[in-house]
Amino acid sequence: MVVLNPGCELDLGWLNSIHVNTAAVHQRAANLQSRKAVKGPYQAAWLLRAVTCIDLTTLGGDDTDSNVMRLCAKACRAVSEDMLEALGFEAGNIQTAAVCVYPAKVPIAVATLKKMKMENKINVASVATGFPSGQYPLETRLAEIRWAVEKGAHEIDIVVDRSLVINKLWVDLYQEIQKMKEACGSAHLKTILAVGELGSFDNVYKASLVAMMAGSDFIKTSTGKEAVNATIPVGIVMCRAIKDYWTRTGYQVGFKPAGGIRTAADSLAWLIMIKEELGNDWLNNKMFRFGASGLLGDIERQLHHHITGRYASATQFAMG
Amino acid sequence: MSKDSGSKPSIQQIFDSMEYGPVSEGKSLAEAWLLDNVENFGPFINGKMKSSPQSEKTTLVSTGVNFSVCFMLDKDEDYSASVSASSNAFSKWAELDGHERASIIYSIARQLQKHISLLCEVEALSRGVQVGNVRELDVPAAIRTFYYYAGWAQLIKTELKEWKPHGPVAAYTSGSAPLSSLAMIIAPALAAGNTITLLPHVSNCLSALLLAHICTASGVPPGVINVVPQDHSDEMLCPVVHDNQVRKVAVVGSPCLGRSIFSNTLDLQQNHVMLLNGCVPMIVLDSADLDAVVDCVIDAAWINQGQDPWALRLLIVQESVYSALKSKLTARIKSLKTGSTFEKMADVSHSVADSSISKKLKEMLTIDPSSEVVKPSASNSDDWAPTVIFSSAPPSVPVLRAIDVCPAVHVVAARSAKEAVGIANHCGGGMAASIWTESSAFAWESALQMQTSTVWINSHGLLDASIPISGRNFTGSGSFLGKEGLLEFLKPSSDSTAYLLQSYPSASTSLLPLVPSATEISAVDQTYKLFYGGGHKRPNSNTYRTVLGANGESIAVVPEANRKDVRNAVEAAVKVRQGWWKRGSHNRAQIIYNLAEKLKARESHFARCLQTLYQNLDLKKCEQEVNECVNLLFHFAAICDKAIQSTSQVANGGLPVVVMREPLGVIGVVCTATACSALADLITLIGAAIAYGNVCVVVTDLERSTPALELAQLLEVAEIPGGVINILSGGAISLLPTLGGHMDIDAVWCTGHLHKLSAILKEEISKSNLKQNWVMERVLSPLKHRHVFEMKASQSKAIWLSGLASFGS
Repeated sequence: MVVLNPGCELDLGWLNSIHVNTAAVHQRAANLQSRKAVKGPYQAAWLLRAVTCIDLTTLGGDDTDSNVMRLCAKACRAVSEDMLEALGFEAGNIQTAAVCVYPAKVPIAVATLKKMKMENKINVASVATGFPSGQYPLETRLAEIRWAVEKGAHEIDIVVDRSLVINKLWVDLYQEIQKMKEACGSAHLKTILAVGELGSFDNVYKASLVAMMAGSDFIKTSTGKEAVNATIPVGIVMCRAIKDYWTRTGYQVGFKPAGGIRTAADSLAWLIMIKEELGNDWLNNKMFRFGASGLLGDIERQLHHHITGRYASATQFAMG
Repeated sequence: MSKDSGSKPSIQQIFDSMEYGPVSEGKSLAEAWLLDNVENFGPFINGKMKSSPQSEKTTLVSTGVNFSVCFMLDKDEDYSASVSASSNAFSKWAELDGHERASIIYSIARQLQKHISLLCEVEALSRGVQVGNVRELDVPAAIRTFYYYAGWAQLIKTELKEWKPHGPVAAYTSGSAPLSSLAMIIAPALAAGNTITLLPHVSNCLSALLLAHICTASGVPPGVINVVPQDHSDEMLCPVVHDNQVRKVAVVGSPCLGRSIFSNTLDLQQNHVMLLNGCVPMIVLDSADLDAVVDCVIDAAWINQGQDPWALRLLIVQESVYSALKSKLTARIKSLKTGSTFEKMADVSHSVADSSISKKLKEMLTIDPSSEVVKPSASNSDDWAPTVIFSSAPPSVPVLRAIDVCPAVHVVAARSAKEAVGIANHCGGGMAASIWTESSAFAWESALQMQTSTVWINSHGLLDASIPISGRNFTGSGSFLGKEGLLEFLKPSSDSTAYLLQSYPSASTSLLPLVPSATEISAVDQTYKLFYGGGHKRPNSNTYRTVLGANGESIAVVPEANRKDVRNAVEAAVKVRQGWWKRGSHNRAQIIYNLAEKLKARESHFARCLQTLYQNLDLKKCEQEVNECVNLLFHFAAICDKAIQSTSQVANGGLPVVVMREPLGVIGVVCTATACSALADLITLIGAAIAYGNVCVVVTDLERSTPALELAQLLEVAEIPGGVINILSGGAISLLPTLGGHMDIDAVWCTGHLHKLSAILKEEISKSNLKQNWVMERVLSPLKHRHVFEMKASQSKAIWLSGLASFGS
């Protein structure tokens, strides 16, 4: 059973001892990609595992009830039943971990999943706190969290105020996230660092630590709206912070890369990285999520290829 | 998935376990190649393999495939056939136009690229290392090396006009030497116009045979590359070493092999370029990224199964992060997977081609039972496995004999960066070291203090064809790769001398063994003394000898130094070795200019001194020599801050590298009585030594010592710091073994009788540090051979900065 992260005292000495060598992190990422591979039935099994770790996401200014409902339906039947059967799985056993939407779309998502009797299997995650920039008063940012939780969101993906990281105002960052954690109540707190805007891997590592010290249940790379989103190197940095935190406090914090993860090969690369850096304990949706919208479609194509030996077209599969 | 290896797991089971599945690398190309050639394996001479009768063959079992290759090792016959083939092919190959040679070497690179998969498979099964490692590193490095030297072949006729090839080259590689090491011998040797006989260890000859085959298919004429596999452990060393047709000997691999070849090559025309395995340290400071260090340690120590000469052996960790790193490293080592050569998912291969490796590891573990040993938890104890030894002190280095290092990593603690560098400099290495820190100040200071030819900052084991690497001290001599690596296979085409007297009076002086009669002493006694440590010292033996002129008259009374005086002088030199280099090039130049100035002021005094020595020579001629010496000193002052082979460049892959020249340290200079110009030779050798930042201990034969002893008095006036130049008069031949065998002397330069001097030197050097030796009948002109002097008087240091990573995004 996973113990929720209660957080710990802000430890500035710990932060000051952090050194990240950027080139070495990139080298590690390249080595993992060239030296490890998952093939054949292993690939199929791993891809199915990837599906169960997806936070199927729509975060558009043009989101309406209809596309959110379609998203929920896709989340419930992530892989078509005949393909599951061909792979030796019982129908209805593979869903995405959650759907991820704007706060205003939480009610429709909750209602749709309830209607489909999936409310216990698929979580509703809501972004909040002035997503994606965070450039709003703390008061309204906290109010967003409370509103979304009240409407039934199980998970809140918050964004941090990047200026606090850039200016290394760790105490303020710590206190803000603590308040957000409080606002979440029983909902899980997933903290988006927006790594593409933090300036250095050192800052990514330190912001990760502060987010965990303040009680985040997950740390997440990006909003998907920055110029640079989830890359394997930045993932390595965050995973090392998670491992460091786990080693010192004994609390397991989850990890969610988001933005730019579009292909089945991408998802395997992430799973391999997680396995190598954090181990199998993190290879499940309690501890690991993909923030993605298009990924699922490509995984379906690869599974189709695995089953039939023929390449698939994207239009064969239901639209999310 | 070892638990249910019998039945394949279902997708549901894999979904639950999230384990890796087995992934095997292809090996069909290598198997097909072996099968095609199974009947023909044998020495590769004159463009084809020479198969031998089946009955007398040695069996070579390839690791990774069930395949054995047999052939007979017939030393004498094959070696002589190979050497005469390469001698015959030499003149035609050397005479080829630069562009023609460039085209052929370019074709080799192209051909290698076309056969990457085959090369990878053959190399992997030849050495038992993993295909992935070879594909990632060795094969690309080999290809890049051929491209790089194809470029030099093109430029050689225009940019290195005054150089010519040596002739036939013999190259030894031990069983552990990677494919890339063959390339760093073959490519520059061919580019320079030499022909080659490769003598790889028989256990690792398949890739050499394949490479030779590809070279020939690319247009290398028959006889230019020959391969004669051999068993180096054989007591009787191969006759090729003694063959005076071979002009250059290259060795890569085991220190035992290197030393035995060196001491068995007493032929004086041959010189050596060697890169021998030694202790390679990595320093980890508390400002390092420890997770990155752990990743790097695994690759640095065990990529290619730890068989590369630059594989990590000693990890020196700052005490404040020692336990943090220890736990991270322990966890990683325990989770490493070992597997067979063709198992992609194995981190390190457990098939050992060279069986002595696992034996050495077992021996090492029994030596120090107090240490904590960590191995992969899944590894079979009978196999070879990557091993880390946390011990209280670095492994003790045998002082009296060369041993092959064991591919295990020792981890020790140091209190500070300074102490860590100290430990690194005491570990018996000299080729390479690496340092991990995010502080550039510590990185640079450590890199400059490290006594190795290569320092990697925040990385380890990177090589590029354009960047030189060389062994220092016990790990070899000469350079590989880069322009330096090319010049190793070239020699100056003319030997214009420093200063040659037109009519040189031979053997004009002699020695009187006993006390001279009173009448032979001048009115006011002129007592010369030995000069070292900045002071004039009475000889330890308290013996003076009288130098007689041609007519038996007394010229001078000179002190006779013995080995204790040499010892004292070397000690004095060692004390100021660091200080002289740290003064900086501008200051060294000023001091040398000052010496020139002072010499000019005493021109007539020195001219008369030379005239007395040369006896019947015109005073004008003697003045000319003194003036030439002033010119030479100006030359040396001028070049102090103008190293030719010093660059900052971006190596392949976008890595910035700074290549600089460093002094060798203490140079022993020996001028025998047969030397040519008593003062000019001396000034040339001393000037070259100190201009490049070395300090020197000069020994001149008694008969010719007066100019040197006069110079000693000038050194004080010219304010040369004490200890930088030390001058002894004594029996040069009798003191040469003391210099040659002294471990604090880094190079010995001699002028005089070639054969006699070389024989004494090689005997001593092979038993001590592999110091550079430079024996010349006539001293070369430093004005015309600046390149040569720079190579002889200084050594390269390459400092690799960590790569660029777009600030992480």
